Amino acid sequence: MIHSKIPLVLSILLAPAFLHGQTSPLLLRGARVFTGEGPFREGLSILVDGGKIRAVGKDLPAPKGARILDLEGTWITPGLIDGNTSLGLPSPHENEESSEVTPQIKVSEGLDLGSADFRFALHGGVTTACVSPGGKNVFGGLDVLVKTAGGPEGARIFKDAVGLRITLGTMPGMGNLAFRGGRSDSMYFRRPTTRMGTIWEIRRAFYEAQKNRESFTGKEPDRATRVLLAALDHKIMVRMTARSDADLRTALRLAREFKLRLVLDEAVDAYYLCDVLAAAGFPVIAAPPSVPQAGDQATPHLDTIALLAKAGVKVALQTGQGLGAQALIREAAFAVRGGLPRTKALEAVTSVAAEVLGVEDRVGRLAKGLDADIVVWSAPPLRLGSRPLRIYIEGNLVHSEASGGGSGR
Amino acid sequence: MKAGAVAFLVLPFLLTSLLDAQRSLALRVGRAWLGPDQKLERPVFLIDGGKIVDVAQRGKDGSSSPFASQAERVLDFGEAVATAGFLDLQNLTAPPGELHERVESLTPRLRAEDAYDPFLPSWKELWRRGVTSICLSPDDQNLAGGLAAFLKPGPTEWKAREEAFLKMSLTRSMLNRERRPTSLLGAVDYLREVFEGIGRTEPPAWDPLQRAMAPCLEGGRTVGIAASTRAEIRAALNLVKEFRLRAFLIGVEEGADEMEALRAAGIPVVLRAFAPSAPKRALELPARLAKAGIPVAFCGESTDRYGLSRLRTSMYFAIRNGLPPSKALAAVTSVPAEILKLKDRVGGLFKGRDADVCIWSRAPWDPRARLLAVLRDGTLLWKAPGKDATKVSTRTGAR
Amino acid sequence: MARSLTIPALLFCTTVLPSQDILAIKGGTVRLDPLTILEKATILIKDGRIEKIGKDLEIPWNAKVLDASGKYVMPAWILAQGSGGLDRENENMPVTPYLSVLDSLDPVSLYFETARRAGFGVLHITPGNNCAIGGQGMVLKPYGKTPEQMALLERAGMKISLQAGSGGRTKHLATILKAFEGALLAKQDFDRRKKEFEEEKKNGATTKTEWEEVFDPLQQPLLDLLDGKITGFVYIPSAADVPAAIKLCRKYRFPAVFILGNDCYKAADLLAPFVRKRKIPLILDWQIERIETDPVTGKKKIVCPPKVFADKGLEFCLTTASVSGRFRSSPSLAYVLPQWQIGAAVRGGVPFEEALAAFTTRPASVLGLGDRVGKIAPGFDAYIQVLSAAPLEPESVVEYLILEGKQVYDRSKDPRVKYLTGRKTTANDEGNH
Repeated sequence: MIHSKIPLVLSILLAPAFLHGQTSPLLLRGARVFTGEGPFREGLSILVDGGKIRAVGKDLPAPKGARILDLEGTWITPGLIDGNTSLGLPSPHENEESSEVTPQIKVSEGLDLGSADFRFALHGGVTTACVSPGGKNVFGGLDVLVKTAGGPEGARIFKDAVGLRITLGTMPGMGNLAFRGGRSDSMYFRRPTTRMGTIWEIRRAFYEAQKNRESFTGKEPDRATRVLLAALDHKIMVRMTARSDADLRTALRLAREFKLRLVLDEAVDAYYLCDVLAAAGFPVIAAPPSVPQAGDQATPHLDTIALLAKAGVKVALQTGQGLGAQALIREAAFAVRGGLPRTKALEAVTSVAAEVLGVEDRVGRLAKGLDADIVVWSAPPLRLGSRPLRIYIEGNLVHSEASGGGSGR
Repeated sequence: MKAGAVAFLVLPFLLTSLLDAQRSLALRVGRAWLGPDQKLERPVFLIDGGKIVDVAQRGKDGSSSPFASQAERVLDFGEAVATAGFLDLQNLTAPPGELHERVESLTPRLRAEDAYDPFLPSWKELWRRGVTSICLSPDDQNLAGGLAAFLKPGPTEWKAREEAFLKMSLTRSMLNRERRPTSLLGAVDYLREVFEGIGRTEPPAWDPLQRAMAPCLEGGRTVGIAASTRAEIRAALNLVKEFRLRAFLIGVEEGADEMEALRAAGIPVVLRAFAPSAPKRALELPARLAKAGIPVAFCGESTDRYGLSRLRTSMYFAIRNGLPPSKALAAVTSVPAEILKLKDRVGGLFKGRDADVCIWSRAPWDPRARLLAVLRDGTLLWKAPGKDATKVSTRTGAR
Repeated sequence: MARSLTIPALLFCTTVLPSQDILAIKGGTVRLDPLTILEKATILIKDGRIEKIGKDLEIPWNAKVLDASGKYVMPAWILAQGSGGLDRENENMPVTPYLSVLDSLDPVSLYFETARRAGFGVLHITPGNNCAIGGQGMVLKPYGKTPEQMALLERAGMKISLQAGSGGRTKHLATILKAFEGALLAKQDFDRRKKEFEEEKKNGATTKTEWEEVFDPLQQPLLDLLDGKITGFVYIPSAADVPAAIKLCRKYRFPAVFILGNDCYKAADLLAPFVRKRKIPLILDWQIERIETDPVTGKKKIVCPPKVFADKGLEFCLTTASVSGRFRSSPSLAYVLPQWQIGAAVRGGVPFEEALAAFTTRPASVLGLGDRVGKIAPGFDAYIQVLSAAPLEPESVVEYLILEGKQVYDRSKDPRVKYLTGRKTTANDEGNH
């Protein structure tokens, strides 16, 4: 493998100026390529131009003026997609806690896009991250999809308000139990304080939104109602964080009741419900499998993701919020340790994640017309010693490591 | 020489008469910065009724002495240097807890003026640092804390007060888990709710909160927004843009990483006093901002226990790290005056302005410079003790 | 130091195997040591020792055969130092050289179970970092009903920690110096009195014939340390404590091993010449990818401390976090698994062989067991793990663990793995749900 890297090193030496804003077309060839589905394939070339992938195929001819990069001995995947993070959010203020129901709050408004967290995620191969409000509210607010680098910072937000975060279980109620010395008129004496209270808040918010839709005829309803109605009308996905078996069943019940476009978040105990989830067609953004603890008395199992995938549930992965997870690719590798086939693991952090988040027309695969978000790995990406050598976001080289180092076996 | 000796003998008597007198005065110094970019050698200022009535230059040999005939008195500070009195744009001198309301975070109708105590000993301390006017401002603990008051503090004169700006804050110290908002996200949401609510209804239907916030929209009332982190700065700039606020930012500790956004917004930035342990990039921030064409001001004068003037240390450190001295002077005089739309009154020593003058032994950003005397509205507020401090000579009676 | 540790090793070594037990591990890809791989080889183990390794070995008829075809066979991991599996890590006074973890060890602790699942064959358990002189550590295998059964070495060295308490660094160092000087003074006094007694006896001034007094047993371990009979495992919490550690070792010249806190790599230049000259082994913190914030620019970067030491040509041992310890519980299971730790080091730029050695041969020699464990070679004790795939493959798990020739772990029979895999259909399947 050391030998096979020489052409790569040479090509980097010979063409030193891979900077931002490159305009000429770029042909990547010689690497083993994972396009977003199926296994790695040999002999595929990728043509990049204008920030998009122009073609993927065998023996692509290089257009005039194209730069050619020989990447023999490396592995290429689409940029990874992290299904739920708190990158760039100020901890511990990732929630507006003055109310349990803040569906209108947009995470994009308090995001520090310059946070080093994005860079660290990028160095693990993540090019798209879903940043979600924290889980302390019943309705936390609206998620945002962000590119981890490249382009001016404002332009990195590529899809705002992708989903509405709802948290089930005990977490939203926890802050409402008055601690000693708490003021009796403070928010600590609010509902909900129980799991059923949480569900009551969800029902009430949705029912009131429906009621308001009728009473607001002719006038535009307020922002919270607009968001809730968008969720009820399937214009945005509803991401429900449910960890325990009981909460997962509740989520399914609510989805039936309000006919929601449900995406289950964390779903630690989902191994109970594989076929139910498969039958209902609800995707899961699974909790990071290497984290041994979970809230709400859920029991993280080693093979949850493997079982879900086997049952035909669409599974994406997340590193989560403050869970102490590894880098996303390592969490995928940990799912492999738990029995998930490698291809499925890679799909979970690329093409399937894009589908779950509703952006499969932009990212997640190496196919014509999609964003040129490409990661070149030093070894098969799921191997524990592998690391990104080069990362492109929308055709811009945003990370590059020329030196060899250990190759991993 | 004889006149000088006489003056020295009768000095105590004369000073007491000067302090309460509002008689016309000719002020002579060796050099003056009329504005930050405008230097005048051997100037004489004619001061009457608290204003600078006229400015002229003496001859090199000292022969010509303008205004000697018009002025009832002459103050001669020899080779000393005069600048406009400093203006501290965000001063928080008040008893603890006075400058914020705890129960609510949006309290735009509060007036910092009501927390003003003219008899605080701190005001004299401010004079000794060259600060002649301040904006007493609500602190950072409320989302919209209230109206800052422009005033010239102290027991001798405190009638010059007015609404200066609405103080807002997006910083962490504004967050309070017992009220709305508890997060930056919530803060932006709350403001948006209020501003959008104003737009969606007609003035008669406005609630008191909306009525108090409405003047800020469309560049009406000036808004000072405290924002420290990058996310806060961005959030502030977004709000400014969206609701077309006439605003300036306060703090901007992480501004070095948001230069692009700040440059694009082009609104003034008011920097707090540097902490002694400030990192290099914080020290270099004023120079970088100025280079990008962003107006920079310094604020945060306070009577700390070391007796240091924070405005002057800010100037000194900023100059050491690349800020041109003229910009440093502007940061404590003309820029804050401009932000407050009070340029016709303070922030310079031009004809027609208030006679707020600091007299220094050297240029004020020189660390060796000592403040010799402070005049405000033509009145000598404070004078350094010691025989080498000033040379005062008077000629009584107009001919 | 190797000598000083092996002598007690031979004394305290216990074997729980029945005699004449033969085990053959057949057909696996065998990594004998960090540098050598043998394909499709068989290992013959007799009486807990590795007897032969080869491609076409004849397997005796009475041997138990473990089929490892398609699997990866390698030496079990060795943890150079850790503080898991203890009731509590430290006593609540600063100087306790007379304590031994032997008395605190909990053989049924989840820590040892986790260690078996992770493929550890040898663990060096020491007191924690809260005491200046914490007591004596112990080298053991994570298997056995009593601490004695588990022990490889019951006295494996003295734990010294430079982690300052409330009194700050100065007071902390003074505490250590006072303890050392106190032991030396006590010994001087003891020798003087003994000499006086001998003279008195010669002069007939005493009726006693024998010197009956023994040296203070509470001080004896410190004296052993200062005499070079046992090794001092010096915990250095941060780069700022490196000079103190060097000074301490220069002054008292005891055989030392440095356990480095996670920012000590910043003092690598200071450490390198001293460590090289005195041949002091290094044990690194479990945080292999460390986020460092530049105090001046505020910029953050990822640092790989093992890489820094590798670049300096220094040899080091790697360690893992403890998942079930009372303290320092790991947020992710990955930090508990040597394979994943090695992966992190390789990503950081450490050569694979180097990282492998840091969990096998190197800790073996640090613990004075370099000729017994850490390799698969004839004459070595059979501490062997069988992995389902090469160690850096994500599928790779420990299937079997063989300690002293005895199979002590079988993943297919691991109750916890069983509990944590497989689908449950209803909540009633489990008692606690």
